[in-house]
Amino acid sequence: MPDLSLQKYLLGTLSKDKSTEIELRVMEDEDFAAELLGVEEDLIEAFLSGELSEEDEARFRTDYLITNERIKNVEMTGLLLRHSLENVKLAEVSHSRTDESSSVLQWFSLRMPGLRLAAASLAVIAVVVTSLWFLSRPQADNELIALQNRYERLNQDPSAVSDAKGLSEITLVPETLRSAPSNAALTSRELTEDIRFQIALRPQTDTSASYDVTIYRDTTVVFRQSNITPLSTSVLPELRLILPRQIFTSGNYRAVVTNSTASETVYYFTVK
Amino acid sequence: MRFNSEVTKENFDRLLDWLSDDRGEAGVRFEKIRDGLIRFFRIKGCHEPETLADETMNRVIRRINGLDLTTNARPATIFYGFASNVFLEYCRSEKKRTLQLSEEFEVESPTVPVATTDVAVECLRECLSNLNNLDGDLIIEYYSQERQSKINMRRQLAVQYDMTIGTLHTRIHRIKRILRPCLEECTRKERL
Repeated sequence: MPDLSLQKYLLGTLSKDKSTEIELRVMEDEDFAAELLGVEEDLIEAFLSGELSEEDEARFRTDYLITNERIKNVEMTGLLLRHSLENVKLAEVSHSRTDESSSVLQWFSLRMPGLRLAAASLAVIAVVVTSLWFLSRPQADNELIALQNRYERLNQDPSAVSDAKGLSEITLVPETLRSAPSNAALTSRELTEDIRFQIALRPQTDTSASYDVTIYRDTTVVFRQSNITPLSTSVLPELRLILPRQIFTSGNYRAVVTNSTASETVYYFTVK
Repeated sequence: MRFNSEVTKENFDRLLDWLSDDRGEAGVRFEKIRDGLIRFFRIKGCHEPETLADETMNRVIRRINGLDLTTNARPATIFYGFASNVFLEYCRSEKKRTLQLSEEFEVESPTVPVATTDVAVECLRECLSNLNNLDGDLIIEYYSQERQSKINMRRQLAVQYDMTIGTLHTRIHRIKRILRPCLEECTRKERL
């Protein structure tokens, strides 16, 4: 029996005779019942991802969601999807560099010995360059620490953050409240020296509490700010931060907002 | 199987005789019918399909003397008729309660990932950690892809875990049923 008939059965658009036929088969054929469970799973996921037509979505609500058990199942599926997709996203970010280096090694292993020699020479050069960088590293680190301290102090003054004019801005919204599926993005060549981040919090957020924000590029912390108080706006409470452009190179970023009582909220954005 | 107090031994014997002349074979058929009823109530979206399957079996046994067992009707069709009535009664009792998706899921244009609270996510993590490793890994992997790529991934997953795709769907359904009470208990506690 094609999937479409099974989907129609679940949405209540199949004739009574055909529905009876399906239900009898469910009772007598274990494999068929398992197949129907798979179609049901696909239907739920299509509903959750907004892939159903308007008509089917309406039918899903009126003719499929007719028992509490089904409602709970849809909610749990949504939760599992979110959790699993978040896990995958994080794993992709942390593995992307490893994958890149493995594929380069694979490429070399398949090429001629001459290339391997060249690769070995490059490796020696890389070691020398890395050593030189290592010698100059304390100074670079000091610069980064100074930068972090400077912006941390700046962000402690809410009026300075809000009043600054002519800055590039990015608004981050929790995934659960976003209408667009894609991440927020910045284009590095269009950025001003300082960038204002507006991080929208959930509606029920405690605006009297203070929050910590940590920004990661892949798995590396690029900036950390503690004790910021949210601003109440007409839309959603938000955290505002000014951050230096120089800490943002192209890549995938996530901002993690925490406070002592609430669990963390993660925001994703990209710098192109 | 839980027998109702109104079920008599005579009626039960009559049912088994109808299912087969051989008592052992009749017992096997009886269990198969019960399993079929559980699948029926599960696919109809009922809570505790086992209880409803037992209720159906009990009704058939109680009414066995009034049934025309001389026709060649498949036993499944007789049980199906009773099961449909049990299901209608179940729906009527459900309608007395409010059936509504949580507000978090009522987004204008639902997109994955759907709205869920942090508490629910935290509780899900905790409940997943209580599962055995195999079930925990399986359900996370099962939901780790979207759209077209998920179809291929689920096929691969079935091969990897040495099961048919149908068994995989059934297994996932079973794991979700294990997770549900844990999740409900955890979110209830967290919200207190």
